[in-house]
Amino acid sequence: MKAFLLYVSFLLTVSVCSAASQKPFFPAEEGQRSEYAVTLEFRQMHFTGISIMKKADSVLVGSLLNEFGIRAFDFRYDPVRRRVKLENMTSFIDRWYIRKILRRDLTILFSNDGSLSPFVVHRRRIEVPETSVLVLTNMKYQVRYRFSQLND
Amino acid sequence: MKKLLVILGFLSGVCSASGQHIRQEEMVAAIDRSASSLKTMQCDFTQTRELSMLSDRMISHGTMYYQQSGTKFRWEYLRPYKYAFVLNGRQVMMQSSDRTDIMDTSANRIFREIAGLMMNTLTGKCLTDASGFTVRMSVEKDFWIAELTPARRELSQFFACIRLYFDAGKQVVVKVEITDNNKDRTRIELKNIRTDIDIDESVFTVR
Repeated sequence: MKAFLLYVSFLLTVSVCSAASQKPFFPAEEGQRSEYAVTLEFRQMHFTGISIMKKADSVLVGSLLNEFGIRAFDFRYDPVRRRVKLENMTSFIDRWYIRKILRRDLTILFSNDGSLSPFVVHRRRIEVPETSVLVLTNMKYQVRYRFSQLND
Repeated sequence: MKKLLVILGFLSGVCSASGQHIRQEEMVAAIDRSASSLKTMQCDFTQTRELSMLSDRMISHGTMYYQQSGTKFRWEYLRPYKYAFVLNGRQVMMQSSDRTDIMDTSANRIFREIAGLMMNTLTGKCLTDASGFTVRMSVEKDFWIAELTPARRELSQFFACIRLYFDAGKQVVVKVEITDNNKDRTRIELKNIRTDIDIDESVFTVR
């Protein structure tokens, strides 16, 4: 009986941990909204800002702004087609190669949301260094994205 | 008779345009006098950013400090994120929760313009030093409104226009409305405005 209870307890612990590891970092339920402090680093350059994301009509929509409210770009992630579309990109960063890298990195980030253990996929490393922080590093181009959940 | 009406119409148009022009100059001069006599200023602000793509808005709160002597300015977001922009003479500091950057504005023209624009917009000085803008003044209830349209691409790529709402009695900015190129607006409302008070120098420290 004791062994059985220990076994049940172990199973419960495993299932709770498993559930925790699968809790999405980005909005996953219809109407859910989240805000993040964002840092983008590319070689010697860096950008800090805020991202607001919302799940609407089964699509994740979001904006990346600087702290003053100036928009860098908007995006839509379709989880069924696993595809990111960039919109309203500010002109000085609107270059095809920037779009290409951003689109691919964000697609990988949003489609691999949930694991607490660091892992590498398509030459991108995704990790959760601390609670409410998610980091993606594009190892090919040395771009690092850090999303930190904001609580008002 | 028709000719007379046309001439009267033309003259009335000229008089009205001339009146508007004088009125605009008077408003700008009054705001300039107020801005020039402003030694220090401190206020709280609420920034509301429209996000049409999300049918939503983002609200942030913070504090602003200004000291005319030495060209000192601090714009600090306190909620829901922490970020400070400090201008002290030629130096600018940008401080987020995990990073601090310091720049010398004399080495970066764009940065110098943006830093100057922020400070001059919020103090009202930008109307007489609006080299990069066309300015149009209007009156709406208790406000004098200055509409600034960027004339250069460096600024027009970020926004379509800035509307400054001045308290008509005190000639100080109480609201700023920035419209971006997608017609989304950022509204900044200044509250608890205190002028010509002692401000602790440490808020302007750049290091």
